[in-house]
Amino acid sequence: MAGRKKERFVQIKRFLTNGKVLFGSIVLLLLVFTSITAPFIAPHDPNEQDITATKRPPFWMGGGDSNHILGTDSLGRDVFSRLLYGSRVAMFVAVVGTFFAGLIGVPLALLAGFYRGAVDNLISRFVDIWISFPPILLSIVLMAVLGTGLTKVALAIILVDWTRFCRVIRGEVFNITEKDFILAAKAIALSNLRIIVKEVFPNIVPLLIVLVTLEMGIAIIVEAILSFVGLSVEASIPAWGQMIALGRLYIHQAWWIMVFPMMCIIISVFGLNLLGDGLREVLDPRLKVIEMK
Amino acid sequence: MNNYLVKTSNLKKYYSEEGGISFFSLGSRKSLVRAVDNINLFVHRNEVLGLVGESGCGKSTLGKTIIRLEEPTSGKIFFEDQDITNLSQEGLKSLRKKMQIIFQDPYSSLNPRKTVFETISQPLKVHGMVFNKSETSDRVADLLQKVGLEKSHMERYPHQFSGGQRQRICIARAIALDPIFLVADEVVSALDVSIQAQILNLLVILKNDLNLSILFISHDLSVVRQISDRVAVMYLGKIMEMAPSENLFSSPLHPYTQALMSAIPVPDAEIGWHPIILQGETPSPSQRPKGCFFHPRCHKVFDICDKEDISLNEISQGHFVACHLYNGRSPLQK
Amino acid sequence: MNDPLLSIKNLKVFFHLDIGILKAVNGVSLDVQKGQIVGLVGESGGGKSMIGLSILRLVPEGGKIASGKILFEGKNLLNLSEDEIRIIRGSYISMILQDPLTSLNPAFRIRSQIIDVLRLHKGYDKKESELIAIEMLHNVGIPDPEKNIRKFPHQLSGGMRQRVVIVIAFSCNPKLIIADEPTTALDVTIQAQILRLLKNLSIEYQTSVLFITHDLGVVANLCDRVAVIYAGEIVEIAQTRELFMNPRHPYTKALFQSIPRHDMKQEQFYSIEGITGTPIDWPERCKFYPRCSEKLETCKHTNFVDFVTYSPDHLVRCLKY
Repeated sequence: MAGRKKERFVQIKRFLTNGKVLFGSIVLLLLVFTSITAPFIAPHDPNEQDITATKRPPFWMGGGDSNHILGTDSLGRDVFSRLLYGSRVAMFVAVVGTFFAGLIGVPLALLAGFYRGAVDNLISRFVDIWISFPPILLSIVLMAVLGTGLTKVALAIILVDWTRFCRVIRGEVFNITEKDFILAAKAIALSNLRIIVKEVFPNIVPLLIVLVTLEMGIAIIVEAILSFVGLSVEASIPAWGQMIALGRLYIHQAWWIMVFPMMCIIISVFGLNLLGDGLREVLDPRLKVIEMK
Repeated sequence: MNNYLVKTSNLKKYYSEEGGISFFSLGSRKSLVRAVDNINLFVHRNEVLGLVGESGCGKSTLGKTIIRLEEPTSGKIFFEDQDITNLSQEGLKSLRKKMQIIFQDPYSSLNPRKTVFETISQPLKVHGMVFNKSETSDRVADLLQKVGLEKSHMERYPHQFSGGQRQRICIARAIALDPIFLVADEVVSALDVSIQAQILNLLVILKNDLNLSILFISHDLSVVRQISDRVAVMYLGKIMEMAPSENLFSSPLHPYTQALMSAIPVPDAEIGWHPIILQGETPSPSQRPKGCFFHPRCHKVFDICDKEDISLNEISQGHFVACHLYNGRSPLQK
Repeated sequence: MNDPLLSIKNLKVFFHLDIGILKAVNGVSLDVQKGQIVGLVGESGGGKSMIGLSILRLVPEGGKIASGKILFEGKNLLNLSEDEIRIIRGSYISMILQDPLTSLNPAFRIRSQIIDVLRLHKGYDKKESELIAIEMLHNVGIPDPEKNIRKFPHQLSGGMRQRVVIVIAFSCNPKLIIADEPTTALDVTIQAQILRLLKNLSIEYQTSVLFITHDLGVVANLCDRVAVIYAGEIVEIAQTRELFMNPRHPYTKALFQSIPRHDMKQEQFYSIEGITGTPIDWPERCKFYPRCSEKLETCKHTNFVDFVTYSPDHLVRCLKY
């Protein structure tokens, strides 16, 4: 038992002492927290309009009040509450989009990397063709075809991003399938399916975790862009990109309407990227350094 | 009746190698790599056959082809007198219990994400040799002990072990299914000299205890001498010489074998070192010279060597050579 | 002739890892005379490569030369500035590494790699350099040098690449060459060619060679003197003949016993119990103690074992003497 426990302990210690992982995890946890608890902690209904209190500045500026700590937008809606609710949209697309993009991309990558030859050619060409459409353009076209709405946004993200999963994981699968332990598994007469699931897949999990965090950041950005062009969720659902689009009109009079959602996006994406970076550092290279000696 | 455990008959394994830029595989030059070319090999029961050769000679490919980890291009493989060349996947599965393989690189032969227990118990479970957790645990512990490791090592991961220990784990995995034939592909080449001896000792013990036959593939003649009963020397896909170990080392007949042996520096300051320096380099396996393809580098070449190829002939009891010198044609004849 | 060309004095190279201090080189002293070929043998992880790298101040990231002196023609290399050591590298001291594929730049033809070195260190112009390069390639036995000089490294075989590396190493007539496992990746028949070439060049140019390897056979037939290293410390050093006829240190003896020989059949394979391990936070006593079959009671408690002169020019670091 000593081996396993010590392993876990050392791993956990590595996670906790890496600055990037720490910061990124905090951001992620914050996002998860706000997306779950938004209805309970938001001071106002995000759609509640108050014509008497439009374009109020944040509380620390002249004219602001503690009722609306980050001010209000052009329709008198509370910015802070809208930000909190906006995190739900962000999290929804990030989690759902990433999950299903992976669900499509990873199995194809496993097949391509394991069987190689004709299978790989077919899948790789397919990915190449799919990638040749500019991603944002593709999303926009898809949205135009599918119509708007939260689930459609997630769908658009899935359809665009699965190729990234596929490409990156495929490369790693190639590396892994060149190792002797795969050949050893064949020598034991393990079926191909079992080899892929039990031998190959566990070895791509670290890379997959990193990829997931990066993808989540990308999903948030894509959603924001789509919101910005009005192709995302319905007007009644607050979303950060939408807030930016609306706030753009009032940037000189009420900069906070646009700036705060922008900051939310930036911090979220930055945090997720950092988490991915840190995880990559922690999960693989260090083990190898000590082995070398 | 012969007591061959394994026998190959005109076994060939060819690869097509693509050269040049191939963009949709158009306009690429395909060259044929004859990795294993018309090999007639046999291994007796309870015997260690050493398979030596330099890099690129095809010994590794031969090892894998014999146990059908690579599919032969043509020819036949016999195991316990049964033709296994075209056996289906079903048939192969039961065969796999009897023939196993150990690889060279202890760092890539074990799944880094699995514990030792998971790795060794896997073949047992796949072939239905154990039925419950405690039985599995006992069996794995037993195997670990056989290879000189401890029960407590079961729960550890590969990266916690040294190269030599990892090879032991690989050996434990290989003998888990009670095989009678083992292919050892450069199993000590990546280990330190002092550890090599440990692993060799282990293999000899296992061979005797478990009645194994071993195809011991190595580029290191010194190691091969110590462990093999018979030795086959390979060059560019063909066997140049095959003989009982002591015969081969005391009187090597093929010029390549002679050069190979003389080239090894002996760790002894008294004995002088006078290697037969071969001309040039080993040709690429896709561009083999005509006739006997060792002839461009051979220090005993004569006129027929570049015209006619020659296959293995039994010169004396159990001693096979593929060389014109021993074919009744001497340099003095025309 | 009295002053050695290279004199390493008490070199220590440490790596500070999060699990402890790795003492890769722990107080190594070694001399190389002019024109001499000195072998440094040990198994992997023994620290021998690190010594070679330290001489040229190429210790990898994470490692530090903690103390000691490396005197080259009297000057301490560790005190030189970056610019000064750059002048030394390549023209006074050259290095030949194990993998010629990574020693040569795959993106450039052989010609430019040799010419660059000649022009940098000797100041020849392009035309002169090319002629000299072709001649040198011919001298090391590369067929058709005019044609082969235009090739890229991956178009040549391993043996040819190593010859090119040797040409580059010898091109500026260095006083010392550090060869780190230069033939380990090559076939035995090619190794024989390369070793003979190396010996001839060394004699012809009076170049000293520090030959780092794990192969005792190579060392026995190439080197004038041999030092045996274990866990970052030199345990024995003597003239080649003397060492092979009269090994004294238990590790040296055990090592010799465990080598398989192709010229005789051994009745049993001797191996050394246990594994070398990585010297992280090891106690200061004799590093071989845990595996030694001849250990004494005092070995456990003595913190620093010094060299003993067993016979002229034969030093052993062992309490038994």
